[in-house]
Amino acid sequence: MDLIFTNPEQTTIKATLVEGEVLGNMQGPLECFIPCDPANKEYSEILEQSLAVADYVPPTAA
Amino acid sequence: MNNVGRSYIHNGLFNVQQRGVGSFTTGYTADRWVIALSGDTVSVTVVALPDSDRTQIGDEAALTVLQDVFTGIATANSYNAILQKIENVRRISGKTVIISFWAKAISGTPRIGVNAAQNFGTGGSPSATVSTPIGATAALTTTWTRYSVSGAVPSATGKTFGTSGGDYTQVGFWFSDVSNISGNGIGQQSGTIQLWGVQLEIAQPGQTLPTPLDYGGSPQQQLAQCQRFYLTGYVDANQVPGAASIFSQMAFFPVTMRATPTIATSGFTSGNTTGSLVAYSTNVQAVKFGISSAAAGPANFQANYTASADL
Repeated sequence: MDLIFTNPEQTTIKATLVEGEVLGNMQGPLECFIPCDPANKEYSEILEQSLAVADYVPPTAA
Repeated sequence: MNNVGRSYIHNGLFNVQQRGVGSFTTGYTADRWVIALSGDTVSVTVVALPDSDRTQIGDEAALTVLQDVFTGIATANSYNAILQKIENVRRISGKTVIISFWAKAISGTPRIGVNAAQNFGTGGSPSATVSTPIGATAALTTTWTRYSVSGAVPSATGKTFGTSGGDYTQVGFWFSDVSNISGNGIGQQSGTIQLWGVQLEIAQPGQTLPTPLDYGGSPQQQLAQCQRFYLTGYVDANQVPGAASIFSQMAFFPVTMRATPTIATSGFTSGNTTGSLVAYSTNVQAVKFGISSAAAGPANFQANYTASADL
């Protein structure tokens, strides 16, 4: 499971789940965007399981 | 007498199927209904009813039912159930409830156990989940029958709720439960069950039998109740951004959602873009998608999306 912030403000996390992986109500294979709202099922699991979230990476110039 | 508002169950008629009709072997099925299992195997589908079944039920509003083909195994603590999580524990706590539903067995003669589990939310140190047995049916037959069970849901007074919210009362319909975790003694079972017309109402003084089925309102109301927790949408952006600049498009939800939802996209198409589509910001009312243009000039993107604020 890959988790990375989508913005420098760290308000949204992009999660990439492979086949068989589950996060909250999300089941892989799936790519989804998780808001940093503790009432959100997926984000609350990230907090409960202390999952590591990678820092935001700005897009490189074309 | 099919007035609205008595039932705390959403999509009790299984008419709302934003995820499709299955088959589902785990997770959410028809809207608001989620599989719970350990060890056992299930295959859940939403199937259309023939006229003969509508005649048995005695209600021509019975269009679709939830069908569960399940195999219970003998390994300790194995189980399977179908659940609905009812938002906010205090709506039901400290009250006597009557849970009613229509059911029939396609194969086997299984019983259905019913429980109510109070989950006090997330964040901080919430109280442990309290599971309360409500009842169990007799062995189902191949004839549609309306069953009801009744019981007291414990008070939440003195309980500690999570600091992040998300508390709920989970109504469970148990089909196999070898170790009698919550299935009210149904034990290990296998079979095929169909369900329709699920209702949970607060019992009035002296009331022991269910009232006539509350459909949950018009089709629009039934859908809106489900969309508070999960919805599907489509976003289409056509803009003229500068070269290599992010252009975005808001998509507004048809209802205010329970919590800020998780967004997933599919069917993405675009013109003059580079990189991947991102849901940059979301709240309970809208999501903003964005992507970078490849060159100056007209650019576009389209995608289907889902927004999940399920419990």
